Order: sequence, then structure tokens, then C-alpha cells
Amino acid sequence: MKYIIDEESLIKWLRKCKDRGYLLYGIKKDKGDQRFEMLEPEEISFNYENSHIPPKDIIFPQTEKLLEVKPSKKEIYATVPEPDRKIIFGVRPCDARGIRIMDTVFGTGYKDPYYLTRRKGSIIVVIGCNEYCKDGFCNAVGGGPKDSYGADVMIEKLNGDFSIEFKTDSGKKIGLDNFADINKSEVDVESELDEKEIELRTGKNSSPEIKPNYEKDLQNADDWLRGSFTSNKWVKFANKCIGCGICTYLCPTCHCFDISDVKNSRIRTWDSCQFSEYTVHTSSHNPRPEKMHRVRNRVLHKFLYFKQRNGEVMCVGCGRCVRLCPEKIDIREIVELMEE
Amino acid sequence: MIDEKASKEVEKVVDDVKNNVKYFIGWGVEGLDVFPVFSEDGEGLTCPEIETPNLVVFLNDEKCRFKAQEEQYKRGKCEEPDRRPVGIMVRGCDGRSLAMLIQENIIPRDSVFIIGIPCKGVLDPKKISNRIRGRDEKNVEIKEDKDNISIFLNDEKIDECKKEEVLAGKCFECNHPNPPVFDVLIGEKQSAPTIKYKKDEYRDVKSFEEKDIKERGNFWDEQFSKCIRCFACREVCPLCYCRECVVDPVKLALTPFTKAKDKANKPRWISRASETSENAIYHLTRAIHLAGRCTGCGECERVCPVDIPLLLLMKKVEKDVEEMFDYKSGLSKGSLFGNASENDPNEFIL
Repeated sequence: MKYIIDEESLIKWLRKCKDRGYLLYGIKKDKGDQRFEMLEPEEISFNYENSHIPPKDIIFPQTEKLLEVKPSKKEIYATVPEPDRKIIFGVRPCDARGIRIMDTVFGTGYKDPYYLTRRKGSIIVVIGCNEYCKDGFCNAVGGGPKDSYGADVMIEKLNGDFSIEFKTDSGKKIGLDNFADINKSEVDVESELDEKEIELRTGKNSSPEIKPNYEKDLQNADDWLRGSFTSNKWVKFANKCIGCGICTYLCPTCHCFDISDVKNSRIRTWDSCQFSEYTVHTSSHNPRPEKMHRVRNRVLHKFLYFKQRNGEVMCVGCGRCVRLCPEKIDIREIVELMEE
Repeated sequence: MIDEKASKEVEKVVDDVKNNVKYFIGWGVEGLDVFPVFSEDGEGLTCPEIETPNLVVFLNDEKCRFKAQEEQYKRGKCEEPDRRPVGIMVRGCDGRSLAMLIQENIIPRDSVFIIGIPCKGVLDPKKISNRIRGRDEKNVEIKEDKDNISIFLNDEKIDECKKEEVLAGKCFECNHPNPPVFDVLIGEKQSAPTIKYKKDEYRDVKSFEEKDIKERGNFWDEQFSKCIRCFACREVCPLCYCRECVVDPVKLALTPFTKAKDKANKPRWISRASETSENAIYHLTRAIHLAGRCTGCGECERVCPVDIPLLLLMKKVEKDVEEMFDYKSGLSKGSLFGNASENDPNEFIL
């Protein structure tokens, strides 16, 4: 089912959801498109390429309390978050795919209660892209600007209007519950429309062909990377790397964390394989002492190890690591170089 | 985009000295992206007019590599390390940070061959990118005519503006566009942009100081709450070369024989939690640690993925150091903390 809806009605719908107890996360207007934060429907921005920080931090926060010790009672409590209901609005298709990959990590084998509780109540509302963003290469890793993988609700921007489609059960629930109300009273929502009618109404093809700015397919890059562990080409890129955590902290699929004790609680915080103290052993042995080892670990984990384990590439092509790298290291270039 | 004249001159210099240099660290350009280039024969080095990364940070890596090799050589495990100097391109601000490292005995003067570039002020790629939003940035070309900038895409003029509109913020406040130490200087010395644009070096700091304390506090609280602790500001800073930073987890080898005293002597000062208070302590510690050392190259602000105006903080420290001790990092003699002067206005020192 697809509906056509204008911006005003979309905001009205979100307001309705919010009034019914859903928390709303989105990108705020005029705040530099940096991150997803809790906001009112009226503050939502629709004009952004993508946020600098992916929406993963809503479900997998940078700092999360795991345990709390109450010395007076001599007891330890696990601080699993209370289940809540939230709408994450305006996620790009790449980041929605990223959340699905995180589901695989935290939901298979050991089931992480902290992640899964937050994830269970989240409804991902994806807005498809009308053009490829700078340095985005979602088409190369199995995604695309109109891809609805991982979306509960899929929205596409048309000429001024939006088309909205409720995909999963939880998506349909928030959609139809709150949408029906609007439908009857306040908003002019057409009944089901097929693609052709959308085209007619908006004067624009609903899924126009957009030209990708990266042509190669990296989904089978594991073939090229299998023998690359001992290659001397890694040094070329590692020389440029300054060892900050931008590429990993801003990656929608990077999920490494570190656990430390603070005062009377135990916290889990993001960790980055690009830091020199990453996985240093208690004996002070460092398994990846050089930058070269750490750059190699990031690339191989994304394109080789994860594929071997779970059958898909752990990169969604959002292009953040390329766009925001201080020294302009391009992960695509590294993978391509290993092909030769 | 590229300063053709200067680039040609760099090429000439590189040709002359390449046999006496281990390798060159320089800049390469593609569209609006400037990246470091490492090259043994000096190929691919250009002199961009866009904001360039401070290459001095890579000398710290080089030093570590050299030391490790030297160690191996002494034990007879590898060949003698290449003792020729490393060629490096620096502008005024980068040059000052290199001078600082030389002063602090971190980089021996004879281990670097410095190609100094008098700086005309660099363009901010973010500002240009905003002007041409959505166009193919890789094929953009920029031409400069006096103080006017024209932006071309595939030989078609798409935008023009005054240079001041796209000049990097740090350049307005720059008083020293010429590197203080160099082996060769490319072209002629430039006059300071502060005079050219009639701006005060501490313009932003001064106007910020006028706000009341509550407003300032709220401003920094908001800025530090954005921080994601990726430590890009620390890693990109040539003067942040501590092997163990105050925020790092403690690197202490634990064995059954490690004494409690040893553990107690290695406390963790700042929690890994990314909270406003912890973030603030990290940034303030870093700022204080860079007092009398930061040269205002603006790298921390350039790389910050969440746009924290770190240069404002650094400039404040620089200003205080200049006013209180009459010391300018990279230009004055000796180090601020390593010197005691009889004429020091503060009596508690002597």
C-alpha cells in the first residue's frame, strides 16, 4: 500500500504518534545535520544529505551502563533499559541496512539484552534518497538509494509530496492506527495508488534512474582480500592514517565496545580498532602494534571476516569514512588495490 | 586550485635534492580534497591553495619507525637505517609547529629537509562546497585573480566571489604566514593577513571574552556535549605526541607480582564515558597542555566531525600566554615551561 501525503500531513501524523506515547528521533532543522536526536515533529528537517553521526547511537549508545553496585545493600543490579516505543524518522537506506547488520551481531548467538530491548521498540522510518550523496557507494554493497531493506516504513520524496508505504507489521501498526484517524478527518490521503497514478499526480517518475558515482561491485571483494593479509600494500594507506576514531565511530555498522568500571557502575563504551590501545592484553602485549595492522583489521573485518561468518558485507556504503577522514583515506581504493 | 608557480618551483627544488633526501612528505589535490603524499622521488607533490593538512604530525611516526629500526640494527638484526633527512612541505603555521618540535628536541633539526611555503591564506573547502552544493566536486576548478575567486566546473563558470568569503577562518587571524625555519623558501615572503584584512589576531577570542560567564559556560557545555571522543583532534595535532594520553586506558602490564602500589600509581584520570563533564576535562586538559606550544594551525578544528570550535579555545590559551609571558610558540626562544626568567612579573617563580 502506498499513500501520497504532503509535508504538513506527515508532520501531523508524527504528532499523532508522539501523542500516543512514541518517542520521536530525527534530524533537527538548522543544527548542521549532525545527529539524530529526540525532537518535536515540527522541528524535523527534510533537507539533509545524511547525518554525520549515524542513528546507531539511539539503539547502541556510546556510553551505556551495564551494572550498578549498591554497596549499602551489598547487591549488584543489571541496568537493562526499560522497554520503550520510539520512531527513528528520516533514516537513510544505508543506515537502515546498517541497523540490520547490527541486529545480526547482537542478536545471533549470545542475545544482548541491552541492545535488543532498545531495538525491539524502534520503528525505522526510511526516507529514500533522490540522488547519490558525495562519496556514497551503497550500490556497490547491495543497497541503493531507494532500497527499503531494514525499513518499517518507507518514505520517498516526490515533487513536493511524499509517498509513504508501511512495510512490516510494526510499521503497519503505527501507520494504520494513527493514519486512519488523519485519513478520515484532517488530511487528504488517497486510497491505494499504483505507480502509474503516482507518476500522473506528481508529474515525475516515482523511481527515476539516478546515476551512481561509483560503478564497481564490492560485494564479492572477499575473493580479492583472501590472500591479502601479508600484502605490503597496506603500508601505503597506513602511512596516511593518523589513528583517530572517525571512520569507526561514524560507521553505521561498527560495533566494537570496551567495558570499564566507573565509581559504582560498570559501563560499556564504543571502542575503535584504529586506536593504538585497542585490545591491548593485560600483559601489555598488543596484537596490532602498528597502524598498518589496524587499518588492515578494519578493511578485512568489513569485507572478509564478516562475509565469511554471516554471508554479507559489513559495509553499507554510506561514505562517511571517506567523506570525513581527515587525511582522505578511501576504503574503496584500498579494496580495489587488493584486487590486483 | 593549485598554485602553479609555486608547484613548479617545488618540483625544481625536489629534483635538486632528491638524492640527499629519504623521502618527501607533501600534498596532493583531487577536486576539493587535499591529502598527504609520501613519495621517494618527489613525484606528485603540489602546492594547493586549499586548506592543507599539517604534515608535521607524520614526522612523529617517522621518528618511531627510525628508532625501532636503529634498535634492531644495533642488535645486528637488520640493515643500517637510512639516515638521510625527510623532506617536508610546511606553511607558516605548520612551520611554527615544526619549529616547536625541534625546540623540544623531539625532531632533530638535521633529520628534516624543510621546504617552506610562504602562505597567501588558504581556502576553506567546506565553504566552497556549500556554495556549489550538490555539484560534482571532483571536477571543480578554482581560479584566483587578485582577490576574486571564480569556480569552474568542466570549463564553465558556476560561481564567483571575493576571496575573503571562502578564506579559512584561521587565516584571518594569522600573523605569521612565513615558516620560521626552512632549508629552502618557495617564492617571496608574504605579508601577514591580519594587516591585509585589517583584522586583529585575537578577534574571536576578544569578542567571546566580553560575554558573561554564564553565557560562556553554556556555550562550551553545548559544544562539549557534542564530542564523540574520536580523538581526531589529538591524533592530528603534531604537538600531541605523548605516548600515553591522560584519557587512554592505563598501559600497565599486570602479572601476579604487580604490586598494589604500582597499580595505585596509575590511576585513570578521565572516564571513558562520553559525558559533557568528562569531555570537557579532556578538552581543557589538552588545551592547558598545549599552552605555549599550540601554533594555531587549526587542524583540530578542521578534522572535528561534530564541528566543535576548538581553535577558539586554543587561541584563548595562546593569547593568555602571549600577554602573561610575552611568549609566542615556535617563534620565541626556549620553551615556555622550561624557562624561568629573572624579569618574570610573577614573583613566586624566583
